[in-house]
Amino acid sequence: MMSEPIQISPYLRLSGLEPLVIRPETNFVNVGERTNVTGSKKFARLIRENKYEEALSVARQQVENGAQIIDVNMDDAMLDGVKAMTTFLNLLQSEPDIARVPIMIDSSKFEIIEAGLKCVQGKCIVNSISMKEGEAKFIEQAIICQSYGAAVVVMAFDEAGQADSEERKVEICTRAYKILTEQVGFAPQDIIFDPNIFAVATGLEEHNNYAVDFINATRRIKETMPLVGISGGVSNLSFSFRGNEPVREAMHAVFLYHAIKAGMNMGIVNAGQLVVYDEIDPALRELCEDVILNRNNENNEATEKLITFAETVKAKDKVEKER
Amino acid sequence: MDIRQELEKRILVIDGAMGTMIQRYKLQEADFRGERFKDWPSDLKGNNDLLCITQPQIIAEIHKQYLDAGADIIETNTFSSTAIAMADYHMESLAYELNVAAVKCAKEGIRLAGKKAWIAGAIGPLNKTLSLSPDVNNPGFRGLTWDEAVAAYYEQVSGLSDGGADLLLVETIFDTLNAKAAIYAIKKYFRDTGKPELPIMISGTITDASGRTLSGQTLEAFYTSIQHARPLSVGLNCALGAKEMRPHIAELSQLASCFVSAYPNAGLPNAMGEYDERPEDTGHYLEDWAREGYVNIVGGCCGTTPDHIRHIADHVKSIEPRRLPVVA
Repeated sequence: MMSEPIQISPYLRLSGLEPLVIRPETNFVNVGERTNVTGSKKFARLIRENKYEEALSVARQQVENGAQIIDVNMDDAMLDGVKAMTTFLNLLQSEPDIARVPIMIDSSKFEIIEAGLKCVQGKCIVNSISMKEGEAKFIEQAIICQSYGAAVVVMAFDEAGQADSEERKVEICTRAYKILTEQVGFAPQDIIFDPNIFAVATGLEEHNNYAVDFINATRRIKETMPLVGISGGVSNLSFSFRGNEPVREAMHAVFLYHAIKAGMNMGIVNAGQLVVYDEIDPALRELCEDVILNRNNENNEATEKLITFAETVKAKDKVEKER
Repeated sequence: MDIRQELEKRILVIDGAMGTMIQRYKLQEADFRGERFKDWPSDLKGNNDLLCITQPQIIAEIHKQYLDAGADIIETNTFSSTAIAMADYHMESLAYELNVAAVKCAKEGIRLAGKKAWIAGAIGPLNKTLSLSPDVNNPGFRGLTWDEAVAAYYEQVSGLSDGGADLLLVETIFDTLNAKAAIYAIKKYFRDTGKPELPIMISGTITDASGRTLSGQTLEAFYTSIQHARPLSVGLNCALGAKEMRPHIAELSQLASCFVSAYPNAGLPNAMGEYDERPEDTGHYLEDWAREGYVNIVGGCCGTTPDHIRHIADHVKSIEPRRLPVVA
């Protein structure tokens, strides 16, 4: 007399005070990047000056601007990272309008990550672990993340270094996937790969294919490991244009347009500042396409064109500001 | 008897309230103290868990009554048997012994009843919370650290496991972070000792009509946060009567990939603070849940008695259990 059993799909399920389920049809997930002392001078200053109330308002603004997860990073030589992470996350728990979203606990120091995991009742994402220091350390850290119930971002990094080519990215992610699912017992959907977004248009030709390598690696990882997520720190891409926000945002939008099509489903971004691909000035968009897809770029030709264009944008920006 | 196989076949019944039954004995300070603690410096009346050491025959008799009424799973009398909760009586150092003694009482109850049953080692929520500040003027403050909570739970788990519990039941979860510390301690204990891990039952508490835990999580957020325990079952208990708990159990039965348990209070407390829902009414409510296919384990929390459990057991015994969802 009972009907068919219910079907439950293996999606990445996270939680703050409220759940966040990331389904294949879910739009790109924005992870708020401003609560990161390495990326936001303002946030770093507030934490250093012990202005935690104001620091919370940075987190709130991210959520209000559409961040579905917030990335919290306290890696600063001037800070006691464990203490700062603990203090900030404990305070954040008492703000329901912020605590409703899941937290991405971000640090290159595992003791800071673990301090963060001890403060958050919801299901977090750890950002990140890798095979940088070998398999044994990787497995040990993965087990710890698992015993706190966290999902993990795995950086494409191994004993030999950070993966830059498509081949290396795919190879490292595949190896990490096997270890996590077969030895540690991780659910595939709780694994998010960060195949490394590096700066393009730096003037060095060996950097020109970095975005293409990321996009192609993403596509191949999703083909063979369909349940995993793909994430990355998008602002790295445009590092050589720092100070020129219009160009950086255009580059990010063009990059995401292609990376999302390949299977990237989340990214650490400035949630308030994402521009829509179709709204970019067509001339600028075309130049960004060439640089990101490494087309018409013999002898850095595309790069040079974008740099030239960027200077005009910068000048215009300056004139407008002075008005 | 493998509990998973049995849960595929039928709805299992978990026992009712321990505190409600202890009250019926009208025990006095001297009864709580027994011979061993007659000179203990602080008051001990109300330390129900201590009775596992000082009045074990009473606890065993209560277990027997629940087993006679139809319970398949009985909970050890260890809701507060952690060093943290026992600090109220300056009995931190007794935590391990209390847990071992409580399992012994449960085993004695099973012997007296002469039937097979599972002993669930009850792991309560602690009287301090990891997600909430006890000081309204200092929201970042915590009265307890994660490491302290893990150490206390670890000790409790070691007592329950050494005593011979069949299952571990993390229950009445007000604050999911406390439950996560309990899960962490359980996993660590079994990793450290190399013993086979006992099945884990998890039971949260939705405090009111908001549908959230006291620490502010929605039901789905709560379930997501504890799923890594890979529990045998997840469910709800306490705070609400069956009538109020129904929509939440309906929701949970759609979310959970494991078995679902529910043991509500005997209604909401009346003006005197007493629970007065009639056993047949509780039985009817839970029969309805069973017919809807919501549940695999049912029983009672505050205010329920062996009479309630008898009615619940009678009402659900011929109904098919909820089928486990397919994860794909």
